[in-house]
Amino acid sequence: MVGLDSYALTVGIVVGIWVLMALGLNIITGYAGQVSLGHAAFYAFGAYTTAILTTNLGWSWFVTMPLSVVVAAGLGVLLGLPSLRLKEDFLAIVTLGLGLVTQSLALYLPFTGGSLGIGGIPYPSVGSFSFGTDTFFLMVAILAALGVALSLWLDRSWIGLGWRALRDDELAARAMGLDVTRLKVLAFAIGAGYAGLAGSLLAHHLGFIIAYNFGFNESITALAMIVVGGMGTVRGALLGALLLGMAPELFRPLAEYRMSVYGALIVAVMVFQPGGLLGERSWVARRLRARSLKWRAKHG
Amino acid sequence: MAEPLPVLLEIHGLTRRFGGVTALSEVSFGVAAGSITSLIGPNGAGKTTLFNVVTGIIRPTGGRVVFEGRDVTGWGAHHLARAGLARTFQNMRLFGTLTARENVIAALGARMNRGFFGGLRRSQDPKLVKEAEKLLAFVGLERQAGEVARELPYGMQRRLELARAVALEPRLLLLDEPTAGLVQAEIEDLLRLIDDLRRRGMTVLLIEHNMGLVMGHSDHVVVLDHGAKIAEGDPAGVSADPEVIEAYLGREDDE
Repeated sequence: MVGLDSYALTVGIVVGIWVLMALGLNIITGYAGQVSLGHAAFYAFGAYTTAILTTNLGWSWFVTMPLSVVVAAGLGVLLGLPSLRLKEDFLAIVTLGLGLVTQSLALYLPFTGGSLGIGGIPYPSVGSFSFGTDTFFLMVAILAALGVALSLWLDRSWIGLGWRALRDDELAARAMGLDVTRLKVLAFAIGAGYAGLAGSLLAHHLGFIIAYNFGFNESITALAMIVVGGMGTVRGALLGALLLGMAPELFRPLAEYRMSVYGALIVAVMVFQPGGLLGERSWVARRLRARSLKWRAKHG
Repeated sequence: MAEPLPVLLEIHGLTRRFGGVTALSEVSFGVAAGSITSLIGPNGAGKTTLFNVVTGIIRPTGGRVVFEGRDVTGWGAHHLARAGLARTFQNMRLFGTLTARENVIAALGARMNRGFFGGLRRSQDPKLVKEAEKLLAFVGLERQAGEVARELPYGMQRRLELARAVALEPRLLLLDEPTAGLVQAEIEDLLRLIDDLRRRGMTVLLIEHNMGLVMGHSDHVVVLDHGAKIAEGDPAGVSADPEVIEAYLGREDDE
């Protein structure tokens, strides 16, 4: 990693973790249309699974990392169950509540370290080789790229089409033979799995986690990322994660006003590009479509 | 008709209450295989409620629904759709952000009832695309395949919804006021399509508000009023029934 100092790499790691968070929420909310304000709960489960198993039991990261995905996905199935009965604003409030409950559990349960958190989470290593910031960054980048590939694949798959049908009209989807229950649970499981992986990476990256890392703020940040970037698109989730993931660094001089800058950014996007900067109906997407049509008209 | 046709759908004493309101009260009738049966009645007669119960959108309070000899009362909507019962909606419920082609593929894919790994396969599978385009051509939308459903003109949306329902290859097709909001020429096109589907062996149960319109196209007519069946029979007999005439004419002022 010649030329990249450890500061840049650290920012890169954080952005990569947020990419996974945003991609996961994009599956639940963007693809399948199920509003979730509790995405940080899955993030927390991934992080705590990794933290507890590596520090207490000394398990290796390549066991705990997949396990964090599985545990978070399992929680996703559980938290997804309310979506079978509740819609939109009600679902938003229930997921918000479940997110807060998860955070309080992390704060009060004995084995999560309570308000002291869990420290001493080791950096990943293989045999005698210990990961440095550069190799860890590389791993995060590869995992984020795999996350992008899976999201793109799902988007083009029949499940992805089912999700979009369900998002457009749930009742019609049922009447057309789509197993809406399975589609919803699947969206929550996969989306939560992404967040679980993000949480596991965060735990290894920071070496120390505490309940405050997984609050309402984190859920809202993930939501803001996909809203700003363009709900339901991978490119939107990527741009959102990049912009808002780097924002704390970019706006470091404005640290005090950071939330105001966030807020203003979101308001501006909502006013001028309500579908997100790179969403289906955004200015950029329309320009690109028009251009490709013109190109095709010209070159047959 | 000399020989009585086998009954495809039997409805026995179907009742649905919403709180204190009885939307359907002990309704019984049968739909003969291969027929076009029309369900008529004034607004609020319970026609759409009956559709919703039969297609599993809502559960009945009492009574039974038997389809192809199987008791399907209380089955979920998606099971019924896969079992051969497809419908359209009075207010049209297309997948608005999907293209016309994708709308049809969604139904085609559901019929194939794929597992998780089958679900990971491409939705724009060449075989599905070809089949979808055949169905779109059938309803005259071959040139609109790539257009987003909600941006299509109203009449085309109606036909797209029909194509989507036909994609399920149903034995029984339930159409909820398919001609609502269409102009005369479009209505005639649509009725021709429905006749076509019947010739292909589909049985059609049709809700129609406009009585004059169903007469030439139905084998059997069932009349609902205030949630109860007040008459059934062939179109001529039903239209001469004094109770039916009263249901329609007697309350025209409060509609």
